[in-house]
Amino acid sequence: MSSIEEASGSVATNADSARELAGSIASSKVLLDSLAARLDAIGVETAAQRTHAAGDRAEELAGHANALADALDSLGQQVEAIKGLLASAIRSGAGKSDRSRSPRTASTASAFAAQEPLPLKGPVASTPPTGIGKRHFFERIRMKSPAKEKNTVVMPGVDTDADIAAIKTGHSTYLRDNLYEVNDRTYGLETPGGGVYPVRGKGFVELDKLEYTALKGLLTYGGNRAKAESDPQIARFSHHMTDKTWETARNVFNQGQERA
Amino acid sequence: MRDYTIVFIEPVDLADLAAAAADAFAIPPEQIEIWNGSAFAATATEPVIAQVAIGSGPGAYAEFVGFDKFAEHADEPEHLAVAVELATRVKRRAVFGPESAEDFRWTLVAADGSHGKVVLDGDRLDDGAIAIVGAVETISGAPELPRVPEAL
Repeated sequence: MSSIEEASGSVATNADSARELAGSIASSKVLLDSLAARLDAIGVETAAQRTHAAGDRAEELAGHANALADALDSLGQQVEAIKGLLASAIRSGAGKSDRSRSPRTASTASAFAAQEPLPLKGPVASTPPTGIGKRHFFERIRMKSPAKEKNTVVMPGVDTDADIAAIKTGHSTYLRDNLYEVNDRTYGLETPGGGVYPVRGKGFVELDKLEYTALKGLLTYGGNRAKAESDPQIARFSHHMTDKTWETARNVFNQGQERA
Repeated sequence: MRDYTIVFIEPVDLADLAAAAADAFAIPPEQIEIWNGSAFAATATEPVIAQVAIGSGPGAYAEFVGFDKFAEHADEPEHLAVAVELATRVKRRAVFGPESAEDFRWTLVAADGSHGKVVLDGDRLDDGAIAIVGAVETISGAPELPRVPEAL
């Protein structure tokens, strides 16, 4: 942002300089015209013509300098516009980040990364963890997200980046097989890909296939159950979903909205 | 809630799949829903015991779905047993997801009934696509699948 501001200031200064130059050249043109008139009056015709030509040239140069000043002004406005766009993009990016991560995500994750790495146990020793699939995040569930027999959803505000950093650096508890526990949450590590998936714990919600499907509908249709039920991908389960299915999904939906 | 979702990863006719399910588990055909993607092929008779449907994403051609009513009707079969029964009857490969939140590996059942754990591409699964990365163990009916290390 500081570079943009510097560029904006520099363009404005150059525009002012160009305008000053145009003013000086224009003044010179007035002086040259005056000199040409005097030379003409005293009969030095050739010199008068040359001075006149120099005045015309000065006028032309003044025009160019003014055009340059106008162009720099225009450039300055564009730089200002870019500055505005960047500022709003940064604000928007910060908002998204707040919805998917806790405000302390970056600092907490980097805090783990900065700690002394401990010996790694289990598959993490040979499979570096990457990230968690979007189908697990409340804010990123879409209608096409696959509904499995068991589905664990990460609620907004859970600092999964910090948890993964802890697993990566050996600061989690290795349970067994491919399972790790950190901050009262259990995660699995996929091999060989390195994907991490939430299993259970604080800030996680476990849903069955129909409950997860209902949640997908509520998220897609802004909490409107009737609209969700009319979506073909949900309508096909109309004989299998019950009011309890929808109540469970609704509770998760409401909790997620409150935490987001 | 019991959930018997079995995804066929090779093209299969829904009517054939419904007939196979009816035969294998003695389900009256009218109690099996057939969902063609936008509507039911016919009105099923209550209680609905199972459903066959077109696949819900790339790589998924058809699905068999049964919940508690199917479990009660079929006497609580193992998920694998249901998948083997259907895959061998329609002679098409099928997969089903992990039965525990702790596991990530799916099970593939080949047309000949041989089966084993497989790993799916997690990124593509996020978008609803079934793409097998490789098999954790040898599956005789799917010899072309690359082996992936178990690494546990």
